[in-house]
Amino acid sequence: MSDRDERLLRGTAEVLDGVGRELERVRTQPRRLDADAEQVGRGLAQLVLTIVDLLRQLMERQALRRIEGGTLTDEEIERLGLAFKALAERMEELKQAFELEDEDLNLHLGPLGDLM
Amino acid sequence: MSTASHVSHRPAAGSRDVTLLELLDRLVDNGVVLHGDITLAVADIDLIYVGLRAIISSVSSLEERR
Amino acid sequence: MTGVLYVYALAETSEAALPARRGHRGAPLRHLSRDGVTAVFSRHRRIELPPEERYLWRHETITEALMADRAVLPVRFGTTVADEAALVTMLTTRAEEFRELLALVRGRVEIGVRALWTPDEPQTADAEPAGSGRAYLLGAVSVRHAGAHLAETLHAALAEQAVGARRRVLVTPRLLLSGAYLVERDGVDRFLAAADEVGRAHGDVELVCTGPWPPHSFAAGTPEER
Repeated sequence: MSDRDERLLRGTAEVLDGVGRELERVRTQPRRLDADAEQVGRGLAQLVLTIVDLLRQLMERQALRRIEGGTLTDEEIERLGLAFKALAERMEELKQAFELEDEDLNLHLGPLGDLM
Repeated sequence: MSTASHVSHRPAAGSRDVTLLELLDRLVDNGVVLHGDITLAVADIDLIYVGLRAIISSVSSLEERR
Repeated sequence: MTGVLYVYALAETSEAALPARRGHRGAPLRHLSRDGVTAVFSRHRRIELPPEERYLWRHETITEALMADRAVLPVRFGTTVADEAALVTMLTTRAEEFRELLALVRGRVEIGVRALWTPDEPQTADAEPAGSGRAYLLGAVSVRHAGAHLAETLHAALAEQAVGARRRVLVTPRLLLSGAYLVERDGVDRFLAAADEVGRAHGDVELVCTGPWPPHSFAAGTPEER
């Protein structure tokens, strides 16, 4: 087996960075938890928002499947769409308020990742 | 392996380590599973679910039936 | 006896000696075989390792050293069992499953391919007022469709060049395809040349290929394509 530095067989630096960024969205390096009070509050916000974001994505994915399957009325699509839009916008505001990036809200889903 | 023309070499310090992310992906999400426990990590807190596969497969079969 | 066994890999039972390496925390590598399948493990009083670089690489290098001279099924990181009796039960119960998978991966390596794309802005029908809920959701539907179709096209072309293939589509909106391809050890260059062709044929995606890896993605499930 090639040594660890030679595992990259194809890919320009720019694309590697792009792929790395996307991989970090679904997984991040374990970070040391900060015991600082402010950080603990932020850590809690991070945990809550991560779960909310996961639910939002799962529900959106579910809605898309139902649209594809033809089991939602036009009115339902409109209402759902507005609700998801509003939720996504609110998530953005909360992330900014807590200075959280997309990478901070990733969830190591493992086998659950197939649901996403 | 003649790949030099296609590849950036060792990632620059501070840049994302794609090799490590790939390794993480493989070792943690793949490979033989010896028992039904699956560990999820949420914001560095490990949650262990026993029998999670049963839940996942019943959710997907519910969806298939729609 | 208290303690746990940390399992690194399952291998085809062989005359070859175990690699001259230590396991986690300097523990010696041990093995136990039943019905043609060997479990490689180390014994610890207690072990709980975070998935950090040094532990991941230690596990991986043991797997790769084993793979130098026999077929290997990588085991998930962090896997522990109570004792040798548990290993024996597991091996004898699942011997056939493991032997089939070992036969599939013998002499072969895994190449990982990620495809990155930049989707076009969602095009919604003129009938949808911009900013409406329908536009939001239907736009997402059309992008997802286009992406899934493109991902399957890429995957099919790559899978044709391999003896086994696994993929996940649109793990993130930009990560179009995450594929694993099982190829003959000496077929890697040929596979990469084919991947280059596929990349050239689709200007809107960029490919990243990594490997060769042990067959992590082919160590579980049935041997058919997922």
